[in-house]
Amino acid sequence: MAAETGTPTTLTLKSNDDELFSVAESAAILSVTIRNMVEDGCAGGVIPLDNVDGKTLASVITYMNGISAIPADEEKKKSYRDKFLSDKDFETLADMVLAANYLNMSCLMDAVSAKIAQVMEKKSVGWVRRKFGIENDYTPEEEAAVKEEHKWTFEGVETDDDN
Amino acid sequence: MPNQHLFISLCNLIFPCLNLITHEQESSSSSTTVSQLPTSVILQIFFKLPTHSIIRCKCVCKSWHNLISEPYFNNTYQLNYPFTSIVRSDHKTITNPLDHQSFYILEIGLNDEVTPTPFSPNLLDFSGDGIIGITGSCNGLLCLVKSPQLENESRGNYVHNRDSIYNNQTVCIVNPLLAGGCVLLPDVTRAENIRDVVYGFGSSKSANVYKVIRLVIKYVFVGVVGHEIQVSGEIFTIGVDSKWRFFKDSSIPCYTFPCGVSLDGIVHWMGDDRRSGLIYAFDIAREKGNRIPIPPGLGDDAGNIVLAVWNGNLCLTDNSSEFQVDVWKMNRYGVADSWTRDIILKNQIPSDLRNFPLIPITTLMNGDLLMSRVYGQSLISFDPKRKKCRKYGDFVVM
Repeated sequence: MAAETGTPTTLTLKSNDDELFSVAESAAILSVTIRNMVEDGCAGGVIPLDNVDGKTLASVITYMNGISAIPADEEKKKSYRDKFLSDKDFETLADMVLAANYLNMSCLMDAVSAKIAQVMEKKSVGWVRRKFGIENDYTPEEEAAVKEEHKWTFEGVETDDDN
Repeated sequence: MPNQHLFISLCNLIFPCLNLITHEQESSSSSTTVSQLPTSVILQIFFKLPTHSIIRCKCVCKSWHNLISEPYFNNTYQLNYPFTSIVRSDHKTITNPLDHQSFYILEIGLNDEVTPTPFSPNLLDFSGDGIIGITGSCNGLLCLVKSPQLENESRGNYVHNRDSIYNNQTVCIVNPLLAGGCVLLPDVTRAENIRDVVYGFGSSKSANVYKVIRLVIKYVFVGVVGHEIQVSGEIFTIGVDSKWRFFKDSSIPCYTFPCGVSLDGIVHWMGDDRRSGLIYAFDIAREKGNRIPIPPGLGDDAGNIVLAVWNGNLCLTDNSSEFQVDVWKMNRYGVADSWTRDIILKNQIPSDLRNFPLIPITTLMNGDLLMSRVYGQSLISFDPKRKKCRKYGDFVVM
């Protein structure tokens, strides 16, 4: 792979809305999906990523570059991840978790899913339904019963006034 | 998924119709619909939610309810969960099963913050008065034992013949995460002149089973004056056995600490035989008891020694000394030389905890050992690198 030549290899990634991005191979292979493509010899041309849009891919590449610039120091990597995700809204996080899943990037997957969990931890059932686009399929009686059964889990839940 | 089969047989009793509804389809790239997050991604998020939040998610929709109630989910949640959840109960409280506020969950978050929440496991099948205690836990399942409260004893008089207590104990397995009810075990075998009964609960990955072990220590009168101690055991395999099975093992100690500690398919009890401490280890798969080596120079009163699991190793606290608490860890299982000791000087321990035995509870995220006193909710953690104790927030649950 890249190490043989001594000069850093650059890959070109293409999002599903046809944006092109250049990224150092050493950073891009944090994605197992991309690494497999490189190993299969796709690295010469453009690597198409059919399930990631340009906006999300730009963000993922920022992450790839940022995290791979940090030497093996788990604490520094963690604080980079925290900072990287701190200003992302729920929809962006959802796009990123899908991208991380598709790209098979376990460290990003872990960080983003943990962030989503942190965001939704104290949110109401209604908030979760709206944000995840889930239809309430309980009848009013069923819903009352299931909420009554798990009443003790509702303590400390934020009031349902945000979007 | 080694335990899945038996989890299903267990959980079918709890939820007769479990159907995992999945919607495995890749999302389109549009940012606005989150609804199509594939189940595998939803699970990754669920695995990172603390227990009370994940249970609240059962109220979102039926498919989430089913997903969370799935036995496979429960198993995997235990393995992937970044938090620690400990269910504790105040064993001394007389519990009305319909109002069991003496149960609470300690959730330990990513930054090792501790959140206690009282909770009510659904114990309707376990109703009737009595004292409920947690006697073991394994993969998110709890083994509860209810002992009848004798009328004399409730008035403060100690009753010497305890047969009617031990012979009328009822045992159930409950899953507070599935929270759908409990599995009641059949009546225990009756015996006479019982001195003590202890329980253990564990699973064997290789044999795919969950078993409850019940050790019975009783007096046998010899001639006119003397008596000797006789030990025996009973075993019950969840989902397989229809009644308790008797087993005999002379290595069962004469005295044991009430709750067995489960580690890698083996249940351990701290015990002693005439003032020499020992650890009795029962292999769940092979159904065979054994004694494993204890640390050198252990205090001679097993009642002051408490077993636990710390960072995947068997550990114990020795509270015999006035000046220090010894925390021992067996770094290689079964190897006598591998016990290492950390000493906590009593003057490092907050004064309100100093005079109680410290009970190791669990490993914190940072590797520290979380401990509590026997009764009450005060918690401290021990940092083995800095040899320091830290007090956790004092909270009152009840």
